[in-house]
Amino acid sequence: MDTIERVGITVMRGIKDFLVPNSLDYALKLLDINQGNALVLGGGTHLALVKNSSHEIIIDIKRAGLGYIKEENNYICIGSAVRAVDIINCDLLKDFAGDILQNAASKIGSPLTQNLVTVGGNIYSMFPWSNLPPAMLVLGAEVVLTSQSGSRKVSLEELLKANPRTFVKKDELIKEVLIPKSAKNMKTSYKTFSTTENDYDMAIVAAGLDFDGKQCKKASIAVGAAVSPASLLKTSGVILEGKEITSELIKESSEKAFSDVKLVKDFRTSQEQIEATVKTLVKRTLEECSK
Amino acid sequence: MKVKLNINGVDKDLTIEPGEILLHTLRNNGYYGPKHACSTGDCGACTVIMDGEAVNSCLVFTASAEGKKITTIEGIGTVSNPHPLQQTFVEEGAVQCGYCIPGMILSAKVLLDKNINPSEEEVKTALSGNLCRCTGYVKQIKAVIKAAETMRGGQ
Repeated sequence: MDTIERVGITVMRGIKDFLVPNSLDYALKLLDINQGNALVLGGGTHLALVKNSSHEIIIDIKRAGLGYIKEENNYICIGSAVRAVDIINCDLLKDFAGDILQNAASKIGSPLTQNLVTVGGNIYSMFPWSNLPPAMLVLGAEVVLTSQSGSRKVSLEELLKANPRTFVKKDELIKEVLIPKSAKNMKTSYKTFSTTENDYDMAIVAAGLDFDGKQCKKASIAVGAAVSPASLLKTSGVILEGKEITSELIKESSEKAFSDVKLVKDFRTSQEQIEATVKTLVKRTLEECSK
Repeated sequence: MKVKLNINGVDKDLTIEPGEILLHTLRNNGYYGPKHACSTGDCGACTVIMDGEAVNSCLVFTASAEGKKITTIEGIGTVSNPHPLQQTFVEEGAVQCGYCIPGMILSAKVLLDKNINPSEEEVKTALSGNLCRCTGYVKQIKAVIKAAETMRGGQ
């Protein structure tokens, strides 16, 4: 069992080899050969906290050709080795769904960690405070998992619900995240709450509304940090669909925020405060989307 | 295992453990500028510049830095010929215990290398990953803005 110790880590014990494949095929081959004995390294911000590893090999995928953000067919494809800073600086994502992905990426830690954290790691590690999943959920993201025996596509929602750490097989890795181009014109908003600027987020809310004239065609609202895994608030979304957005509807939607999800305990505050915070963030994000 | 790193402009062939963290490697090889503090990427005391980007060296595996250019505080100036940032940090009294300062100066250097005329907001963002528990941040922000002026030729 891998253990995380938060003080004094300088060497991950138990690691006997560090491999840096220069292609995806080679990375998958190495993963296949070392099934169950290898850790996949993206940015390393999570693995660097592991002190004792039951695995003996690290496979660093930074040079495996997964650092792309590109348009392909009906999707924007974001390779799993893309870092938060790459998303922030990406022209392709600048006007996409109101910059929600860039906004989310810029909320990750600090510029120092944004230079390291990768898309694959942010999804796989599933820290409650992971910033990208709520934004990607709102955009209807899908995830491609790949191994030597082939690839499979799964919705991000399903992957998070199932827990990536068990859902992703031992010979598989996260290849890319697919964002449907149809989300391009979605009105979005992304808000976080933490007690101090540097603290981990206590609540993250992302919202996206698709309009047909004045009528809301589709509404997606996702919450992270306060719930684990990050989840879509389906009941809150359905309330808004097919209707013209009013302040009463927004209020009703925010009040129903916990119809589908349960709060996780957070020692920093009471359940009541966090519940009220999430509802307020839902209200504010929806107000911003409907402006 | 063996790795090649370029540290402060000098090529180094180093023997490391496969699971070794860059901060550990640097300090074991005499680069004491990067400080060992939180070990979780929260405080920025271990900041180094890796291929032009400021990173927490406590979160980087040394083996994954193979072939990269690493700059520590030792690599940007000397006592007799300090970097403008080092000079203005002294002049502005931006240093108290000094533990966070190497990281802070390196984060500021990356900013000034890209933008010689940053706004106060941009300086704050650039330094947001470097925590100081002594002086606060006012003097350090001033020092960075003053260094930028110096580097622009006193404009």
